[in-house]
Amino acid sequence: MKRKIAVIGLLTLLVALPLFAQDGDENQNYFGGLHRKGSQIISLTTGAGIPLFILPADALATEATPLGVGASFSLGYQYFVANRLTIGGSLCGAFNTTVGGRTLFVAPVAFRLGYWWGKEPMEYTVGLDVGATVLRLSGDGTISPFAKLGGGVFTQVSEAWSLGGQVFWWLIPELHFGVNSDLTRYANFLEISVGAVYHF
Amino acid sequence: MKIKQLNPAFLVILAVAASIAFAACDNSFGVFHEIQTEKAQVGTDVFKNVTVKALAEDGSNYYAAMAKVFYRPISGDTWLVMPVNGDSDYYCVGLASNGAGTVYIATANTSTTALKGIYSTADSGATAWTKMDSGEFAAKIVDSLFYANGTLFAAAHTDTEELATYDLYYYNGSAFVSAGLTGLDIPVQGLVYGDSAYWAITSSKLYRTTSLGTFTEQTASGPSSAGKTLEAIATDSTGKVHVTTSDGDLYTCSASTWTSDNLASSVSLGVLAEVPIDDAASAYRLLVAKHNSSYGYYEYNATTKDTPLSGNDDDAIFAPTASSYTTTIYLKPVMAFHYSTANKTLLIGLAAQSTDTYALYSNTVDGSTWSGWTAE
Repeated sequence: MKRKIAVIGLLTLLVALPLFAQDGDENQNYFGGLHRKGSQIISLTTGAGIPLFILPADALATEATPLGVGASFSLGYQYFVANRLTIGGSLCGAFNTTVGGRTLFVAPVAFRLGYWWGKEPMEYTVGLDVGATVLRLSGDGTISPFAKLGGGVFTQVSEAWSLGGQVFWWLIPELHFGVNSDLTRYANFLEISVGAVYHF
Repeated sequence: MKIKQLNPAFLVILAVAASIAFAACDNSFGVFHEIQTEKAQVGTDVFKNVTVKALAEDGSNYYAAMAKVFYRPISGDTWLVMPVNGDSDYYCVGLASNGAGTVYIATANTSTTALKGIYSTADSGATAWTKMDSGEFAAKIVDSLFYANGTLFAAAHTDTEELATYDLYYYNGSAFVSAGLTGLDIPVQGLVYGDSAYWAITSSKLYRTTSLGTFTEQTASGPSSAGKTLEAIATDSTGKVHVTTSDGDLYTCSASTWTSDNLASSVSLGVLAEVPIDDAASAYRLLVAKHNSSYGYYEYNATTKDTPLSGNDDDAIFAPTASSYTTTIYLKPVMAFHYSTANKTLLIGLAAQSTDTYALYSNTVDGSTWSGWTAE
């Protein structure tokens, strides 16, 4: 557990470091105008979905790591409502196999609040997604709230395109009510992905 | 480009739609709870992606019939192929046991399907075999073995390309002779002794006799009189006879009277067995194979006749966690049950083709606590 926390802390630090790298002159430039109010972004990412932990622990659990590392992808759109500040949405998907041989499918749809900055050719972002996700396992499933928080680093490869990577923490509160409230769980995943950003 | 201001009505509709979506979910299914309670299943490779079609026990070993018969000591965990009368190059066409130390295996030539022999052994090491047939099946193909009320039966059909006919034989102590069912146009698929008579079923007919050599079709009452498609037959600890049908009915004969219960509409039922709910056998449940949107089995209380429970129900007895059932049995047709009274162990044989999982699982009871399904 300590190791996991250390890894997560390091990743968070890496994501946050660019916050301190803002340049005063660049602030007026807004990354060549690409981070100005009215600009738009489409992003596409793919990577690994790493299961971290599920809370609370289950008294009947016998396996320490019931989920394996899986794959994730996302398609997002953001609109700059102010310089550097975006709102938008994302459509994600993730698969993880279970120790029992099944596949967990997670498909979140979320609204995004994002913040972008940078100095050419590097641009940085942090974002918060809040929405809902479909959870499917062996033909059964449910819909749960969903949130993810994280950021990314991208390098501009052309006037419109940037390539890079991002790290996001996924929180899936699977809520149950009434007599089934004991089934409520809070699942935590880490998304580490590479992606492309298109500015227009 | 400018974003239009969001209409409050749109937000209300969105919130209502989200609320409906959340409310429509199955609140009793915990995705992450299921995952947390999953157990890695590491079984014997020989049982992966195959079908276990019959199970037996001789008091010292368990037996599982696939193309060949495999066995393991009850006290051990290694499954080995069973050489029958010193021969391992055979195809198993029948496996049965008398529950008291004797196992019967019918073997056929792997290429011609001709019967090699019907053998019995009372030797726990299965090295001393007795060949029971002596030419009775020279022009027949043996399909299966049944054991009931101290008598071994063999179902066979004529070795013809078209219009094969099906017969039932029994062993009279020295040879296999007709049990009274001959020239049938469909095979005998089950035979038991219960309610003071022998009962045999085909997919459409039910037969009864109290004296082997003749069987009488039961047309006045019971499942075949109702025009049902019969799936399987079994007896229970009180001697009642149970027959399952393809439309979800369970017919029960007690004191010569048939009654029926619909376990589930439009669900095809299959093989069934009575199993005690604890090691003291304080009560029983019928385990009934099913096929609706999935496979697996129902747990049915034939005394109270309560609604049958799916194997992963919260109140299911034989799977302590839902994932114990859903990761092992849920997607596979059940072919056979066997409960070892002496060892308090329930075996289940499945058709596991193409699932990349196993076809044989066991489940042991200690007191009233079942261990859950574990790959053999």
